[in-house]
Amino acid sequence: MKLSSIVVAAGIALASLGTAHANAPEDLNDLQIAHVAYTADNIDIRYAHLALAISENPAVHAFAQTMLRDHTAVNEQALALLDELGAQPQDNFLSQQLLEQSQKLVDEMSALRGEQFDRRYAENELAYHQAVNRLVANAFIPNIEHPDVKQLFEAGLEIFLAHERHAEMMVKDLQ
Amino acid sequence: MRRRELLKGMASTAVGVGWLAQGQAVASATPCPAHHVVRIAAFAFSPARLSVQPGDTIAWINDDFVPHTATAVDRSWDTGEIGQHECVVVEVTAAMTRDYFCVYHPSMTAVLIFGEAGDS
Repeated sequence: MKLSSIVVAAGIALASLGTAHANAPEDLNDLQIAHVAYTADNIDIRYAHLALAISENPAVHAFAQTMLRDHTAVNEQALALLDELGAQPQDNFLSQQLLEQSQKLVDEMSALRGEQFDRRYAENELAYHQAVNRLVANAFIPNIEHPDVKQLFEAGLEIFLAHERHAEMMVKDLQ
Repeated sequence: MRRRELLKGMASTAVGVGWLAQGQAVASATPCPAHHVVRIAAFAFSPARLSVQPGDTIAWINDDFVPHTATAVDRSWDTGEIGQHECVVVEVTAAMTRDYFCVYHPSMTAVLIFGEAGDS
């Protein structure tokens, strides 16, 4: 599948949730947004474990290790903040949708090996981060009410934008 | 803030002035070593261009909550992992590779400039 098709598909999948269902990403409350972020982090952690298990490319391994390290750090910060606020993240339609889509990708990538796996993993990481970053920047940050939660998401967006740039480099190197 | 020194200890910040045993100030033939601080925040090294001289020390301080490194592009020198609020100090040598980056986030780059006055 072409990279441009993957990006468009990811974007449409996320955007269509607002038109096909009663709820849209912009309608989520702070605790639901926190749940989506936690879910999105865990999805990328899962992809990273898959890459470490299947890929033999050192650059792919280095990228996957960074994803593990950084997304784990973000989750720890998020959970610490929620703990401080005495709140629990709330499951929602968007978290469930992301999980469902990620399972399909895990099934697909698990069947690949060698350069095929590396390229698919890299393309998916770029598309995934692009889609999530758009969601965070356009739908979440403007609508988050609690200032500490907003600040955490702003810091998180810096991290995920760096991941997007790193994924871009990885995609180019693997072509 | 936990500090790790890689090489020798921190130098004084006095520049351009030496002291005789009797306490008289004289102009030094060579600049005294300086101590520089590079802050890592929002996935950037600040300053990204740092003017240094051999003998100076550089302290990298990480203000982000994910770890970073400061690593020569040819891997000839490396701070190792710098965690949140941690500081790593390196002494500048004449043969030191100028361009460096963060191994974990390779889009983060910076450079050491030899022979210019002041930090950019």
